[in-house]
Amino acid sequence: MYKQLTIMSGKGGTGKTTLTASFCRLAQGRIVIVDADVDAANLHILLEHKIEKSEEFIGGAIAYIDPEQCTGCGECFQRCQFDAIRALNGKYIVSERECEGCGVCELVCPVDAVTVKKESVGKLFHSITPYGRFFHAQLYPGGESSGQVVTLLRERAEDAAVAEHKELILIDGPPGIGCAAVASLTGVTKVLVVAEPTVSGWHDMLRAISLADFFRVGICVCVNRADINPELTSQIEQFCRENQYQFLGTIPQDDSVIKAQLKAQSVLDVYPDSPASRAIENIFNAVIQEL
Amino acid sequence: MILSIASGKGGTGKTTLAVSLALALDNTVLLDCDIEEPNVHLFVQPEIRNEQRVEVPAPRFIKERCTGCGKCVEFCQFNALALIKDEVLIFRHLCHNCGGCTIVCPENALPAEMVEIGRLYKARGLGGIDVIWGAILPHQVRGTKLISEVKKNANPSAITIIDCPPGTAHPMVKAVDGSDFCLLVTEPTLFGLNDLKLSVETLRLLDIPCGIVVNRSNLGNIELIEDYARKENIPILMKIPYSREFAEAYSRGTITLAQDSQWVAQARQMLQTITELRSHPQRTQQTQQTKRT
Repeated sequence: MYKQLTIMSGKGGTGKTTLTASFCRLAQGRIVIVDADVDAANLHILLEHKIEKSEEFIGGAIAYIDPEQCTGCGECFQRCQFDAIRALNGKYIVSERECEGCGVCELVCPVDAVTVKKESVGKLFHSITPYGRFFHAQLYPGGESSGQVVTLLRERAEDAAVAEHKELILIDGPPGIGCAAVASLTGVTKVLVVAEPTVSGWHDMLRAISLADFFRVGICVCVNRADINPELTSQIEQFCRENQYQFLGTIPQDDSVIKAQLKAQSVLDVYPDSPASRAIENIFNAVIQEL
Repeated sequence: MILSIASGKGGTGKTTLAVSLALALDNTVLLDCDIEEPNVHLFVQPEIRNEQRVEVPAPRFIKERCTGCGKCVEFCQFNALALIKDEVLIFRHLCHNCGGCTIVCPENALPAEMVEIGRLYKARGLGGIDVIWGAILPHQVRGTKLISEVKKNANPSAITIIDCPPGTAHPMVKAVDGSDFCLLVTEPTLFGLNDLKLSVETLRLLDIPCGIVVNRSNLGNIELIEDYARKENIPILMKIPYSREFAEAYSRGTITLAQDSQWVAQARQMLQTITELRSHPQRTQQTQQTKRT
């Protein structure tokens, strides 16, 4: 049976994707990879990959009010929780940006003037990389369905892990603590939180940890760019010790990370002996022990 | 004027720019719409004047009334309900609080009650600026209501600066919608460029004019962004170089840009440019990929 590891952070830009791409190399051949940051996917940039298949994702629905049939009674307007119904010339129309496709307007309309249609919200890709199969997505702007897409990507990855007897599903998570983050961490073996020793990194790490705790997922923590603020790095380490979260180590600020990224590769691919690569390798070995 | 600060990628410096502009320009109001991870308040020494619960109606299951007809489960578009034996389970983290199950239940077994999704804070911060932010509770995922509550505090007679959530999904769209101008903060890396493209596409769909601010402009390859900006005819309005000193100060909760008189002059110049761009808008090109046709 495969295990699942989600890399998350709360705050954006702490180094999730850099770490994930390096982990892919270290776990070559044993993994299936998921990019769950579907709103701003970047992992595909660092992983040499070939798209084998793509599928349209039919998700979020949108309501439509037929102006011929609308009597302007306002029942839908009263009941919509999303302020998505607007009055126009004595009748009502749907504002697509606000509509979440719940179907309440269709339910309450006394003259059946409303229809709710599902639509394509983006594409899912089944790719192959030198490290293992890779599932990623590209959503169209403004989508409401990030969580559902993440769930579907994870299902595809689980099928692949079973079929090919892989040990680990590696999930590059999204920032934040919203529906995509929830969908990325429910039911996984462990979460690795990539923190940053800044007041905002600390604040956001605490919120990410409370989310993982809420869903009862085991938590490991590492600190990226640790030397920017050694005091806060120690504070994070101490916090982990006091709360029984596994503290797995630190990664120094290292220019080779950006240099490698500009070559569309992970730091471990290009500069295996750099301080960042060494540190990432140690954290990888530690997290594998925790799974 | 409403000036929103967005970026596809997280961690590019949205909060740094939002806070610095609010301090550098005159007559500003600062709104933080990144309700999942609000950070503005960490850098403005806020004196909180008002804290308010933001609530939405959520179904509560009353077992004695349920006949197990399953109409609620059938109705729910979000798979937030399941009928197991003779009991309806509610998955709170999937519920959009649309109220449909409450309406559809013939036995009134799912009445709505108000539940808290997060808090709205109103404060007076550094330099006497009004700072308003929302923080969603960690297990609540339906944040758009909270974003709307924060945005109600936009002040038409001031410069309202909105710090937006990362990404290009619904929360970002909700935050930037209605802006007069959007500043896209990026960094000169492949990640920065990729996510910048996604944000530009989103803003074009919304018909919001934008300009680019390149943060850490001396790290990476600035030509990546310059070539793209030229090709797409989007102005690069500012470049902020990386400095170790600045990064260390930031890590302790101090954003020092607005203490630099040269930067303040640049910020005022940028505001002037934005005002001119707005009065002579470039023709916005609609992108090929329109989501809803």
